[in-house]
Amino acid sequence: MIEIKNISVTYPDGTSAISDISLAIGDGESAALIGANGAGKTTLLLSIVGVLPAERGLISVDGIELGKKSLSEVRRRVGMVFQDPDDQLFMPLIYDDVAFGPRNLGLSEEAVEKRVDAALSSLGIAHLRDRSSLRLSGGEKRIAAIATVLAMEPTMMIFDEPTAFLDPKARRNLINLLRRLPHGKLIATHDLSFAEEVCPRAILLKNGRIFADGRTGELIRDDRLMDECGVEALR
Amino acid sequence: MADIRSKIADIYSLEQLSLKKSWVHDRHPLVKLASTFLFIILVVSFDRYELARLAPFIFYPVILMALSETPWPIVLKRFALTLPFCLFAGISNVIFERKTAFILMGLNISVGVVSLFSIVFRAFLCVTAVLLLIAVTPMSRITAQLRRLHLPDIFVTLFEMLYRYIAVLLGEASTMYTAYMLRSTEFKGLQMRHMGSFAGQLLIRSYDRAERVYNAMKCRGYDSFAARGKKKRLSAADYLYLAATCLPLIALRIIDVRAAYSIVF
Ligand SMILES: Nc1ncnc2c1ncn2[C@@H]1O[C@H](COP(=O)(O)OP(=O)(O)O)[C@@H](O)[C@H]1O
Ligand SMILES: [Mg+2]
Repeated sequence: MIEIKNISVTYPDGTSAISDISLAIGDGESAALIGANGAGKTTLLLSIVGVLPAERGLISVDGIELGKKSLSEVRRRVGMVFQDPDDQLFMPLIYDDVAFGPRNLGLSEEAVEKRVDAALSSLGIAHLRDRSSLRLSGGEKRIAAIATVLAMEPTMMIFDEPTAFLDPKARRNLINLLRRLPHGKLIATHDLSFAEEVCPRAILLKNGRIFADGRTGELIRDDRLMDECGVEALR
Repeated sequence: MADIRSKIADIYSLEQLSLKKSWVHDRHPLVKLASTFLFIILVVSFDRYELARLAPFIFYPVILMALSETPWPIVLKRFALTLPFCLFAGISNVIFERKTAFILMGLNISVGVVSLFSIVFRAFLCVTAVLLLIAVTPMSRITAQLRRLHLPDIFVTLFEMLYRYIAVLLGEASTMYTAYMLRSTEFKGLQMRHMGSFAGQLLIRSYDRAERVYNAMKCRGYDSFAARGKKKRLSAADYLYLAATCLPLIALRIIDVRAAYSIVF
């Protein structure tokens, strides 16, 4: 599980991106992080994995407090899927991309191969193993990026706008796939119907603060609430 | 420029071969690095007018290619890219060294021409040897092995980054170029007066991208010091590979094979 207590993040140029946020995501729980562009979704996710340091507050994962010493352990437990799959796929072959994390864990090449094959086949993309990411479709890239994280065998997964750049079919495929993943999930998105289908819980973010936290189905149909967050309510 | 993405994929297509299975692919990266290194040292060590004694070295790439089932066109295409550079390096010899080396079918062949051929052939051998190394060993294992050999970490990391960065840079450039062309009315390609801001944007963008890629790498446990990987011990087959490549090469360097030519011909 992920626990966040009173964290704030300010960028070097002085922009206060998130302030005083507290929340907890339980094991196996799926929560959507909803907010307009610039609300602070990406910043919050990056601070959970310690890419952006929080200037105040505490972050802990499975009871391990995020700090200098625990950084790699926290990153092993929380897998982050970036908004742009091209940021995550940089090796010549999908195999190497997925193997990248396990290799960094210092596993033997046989163990690495096992993990890669398990990750790829659980997502139904075993056939992409020896392909180059440069020649994949948007939907395939997205799923390959998820595989790179899955191969780390995390307990929690966080996603930054996973439906961005996807066509309806790829989006549907992704929804089915995310619903099957047993991990605890925090998913940043402004795709409300996607949020409703995948996450029973929603957290609304506005100007770097939590604005509401509740059942997705209710929150996203609340015109006033959604309007104040700068997101169009679902009808 | 529209299909630049597939061009980028082309750059890495050689490495794609490195995932195939063959006896050569299975060998330890250390022995492959060692034999490639030795091969290059030996080829370069001949004097600049040498051709006859260099000729048998062609067997190394030819046999390796056959064993690893590496297609010739991929390697030749890449060598062709370096050809202008070696021609450029050798052409001055042709101009300045006109002394006759030997006469072939009534034609005076000058020392300069011989050295031009020697330069091109040598470049061909060395480039092919490196390309073959890449084609039969995944890049990540080559760099892990370089680290284990205690090459300064900063060099290996820089090399890795550069290798990846080419694709990032080209990808950003193609996206920006497409966006530019869609908005430009004259359809004449990038104009001089926009060149500066285009280049500046490209730099900033690729820097941003590189940073995000690096973040994504760190999130999956990347730490250049850990990238050394586990040690794998050399097997009997690895020693065999080492002996089978290095011993004949060394013999070819020591023994003057021209004597053998005169027996055959
Ligand atoms: N690298 C950065 N430097 C300065 N400010 C930034 C940077 N990245 C994001 N911000 C600012 O932080 C705020 C939150 O951004 P972000 O977390 O990216 O929002 P979201 O992902 O919800 O669209 C925005 O006001 C944005 O302009
Ligand atoms: Mg964002």
